Amino acid sequence: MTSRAAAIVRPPVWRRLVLPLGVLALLGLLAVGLLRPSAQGGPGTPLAGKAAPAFTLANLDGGQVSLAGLRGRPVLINFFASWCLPCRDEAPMLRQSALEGASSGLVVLGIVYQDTPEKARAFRDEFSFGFPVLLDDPARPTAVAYGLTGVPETFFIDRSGIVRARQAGPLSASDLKDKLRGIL
Amino acid sequence: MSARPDLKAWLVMLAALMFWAMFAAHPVWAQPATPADAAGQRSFVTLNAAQEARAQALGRGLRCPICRGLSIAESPSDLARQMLTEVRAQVAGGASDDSVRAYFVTRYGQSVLLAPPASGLGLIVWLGPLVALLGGSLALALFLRRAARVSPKVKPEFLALARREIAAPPELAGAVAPGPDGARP
Repeated sequence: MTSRAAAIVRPPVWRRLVLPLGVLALLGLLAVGLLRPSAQGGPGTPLAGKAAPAFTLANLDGGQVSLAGLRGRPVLINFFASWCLPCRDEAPMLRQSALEGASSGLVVLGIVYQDTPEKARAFRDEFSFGFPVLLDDPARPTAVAYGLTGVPETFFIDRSGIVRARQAGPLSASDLKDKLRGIL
Repeated sequence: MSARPDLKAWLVMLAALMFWAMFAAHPVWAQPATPADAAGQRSFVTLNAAQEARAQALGRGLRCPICRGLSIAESPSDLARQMLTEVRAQVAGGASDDSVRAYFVTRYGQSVLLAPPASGLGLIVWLGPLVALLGGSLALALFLRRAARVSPKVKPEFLALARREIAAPPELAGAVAPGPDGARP
């Protein structure tokens, strides 16, 4: 092949760059997609930084608890069920947090998820919860208002009623400590 | 050097691959179009027929977060039932479709929508296949036009021979034309 023929056939620079650059762009998109933390399942929640959804729910012992009435105090909300094994594992830690946080004004609330009041009561008594355990409203599920996907899930709400953190899945002692520090 | 036709072929393949990937990945096509089964749904609010249809349509557009590719109208899971209960309650309360969807996006993230919104980044998913189709068609058309053009490397006598044989094919039983290098097939 002569150099003249090669010069005719050889495509301009931009044409030779189109394919590699296109492939590079696609690979870049793939990397971004793979490395971006998932919106669900991770420790975060779309509710973070937003006002905690309001609720007024019946207490297991009668009476009602309203989140709005707790404004000015940090609140930990733990969704649990008696049939949930990780909930059993973290129950003693929650009990302890409620006792220790009381001096800083911390309010711990348990909300029963897809369970019967009787079993929830037995669970509470087994772990000597000193904090209110609330029954969800089946007509307007608080679980859905908080974007729950399962139990256990724990939400940390600061004194001004803003959701600061969420733990989807079981809490470790250090998770609990870190996230409580964010609202106390 | 035959780099250009190769490049075209690659472009066509890339465009076709993108086209396929975008359609294959589109969640709406992956949905089984089964009618919603509202029979098992415990009712907390009474909806009229139009409201019920709206609630079911909204439910079909919301992904059950704990299922694989099922909407909350189709999933029998407790969570999906609870989410549909919330949809029905909001429809009964007069909420607009957009505000119901916004409620779930605020709580479950953008991924709760089975069809991406036709605005902002979601537009890429809607327009991407169209752009890929047009781009692919253009690349294919260019490629075919080039392929139909006679390469300057073809010797005129062989071209003339090929054209003659196309016009009047030699008898199979009779003489078979010699190949360009003189060898008989």
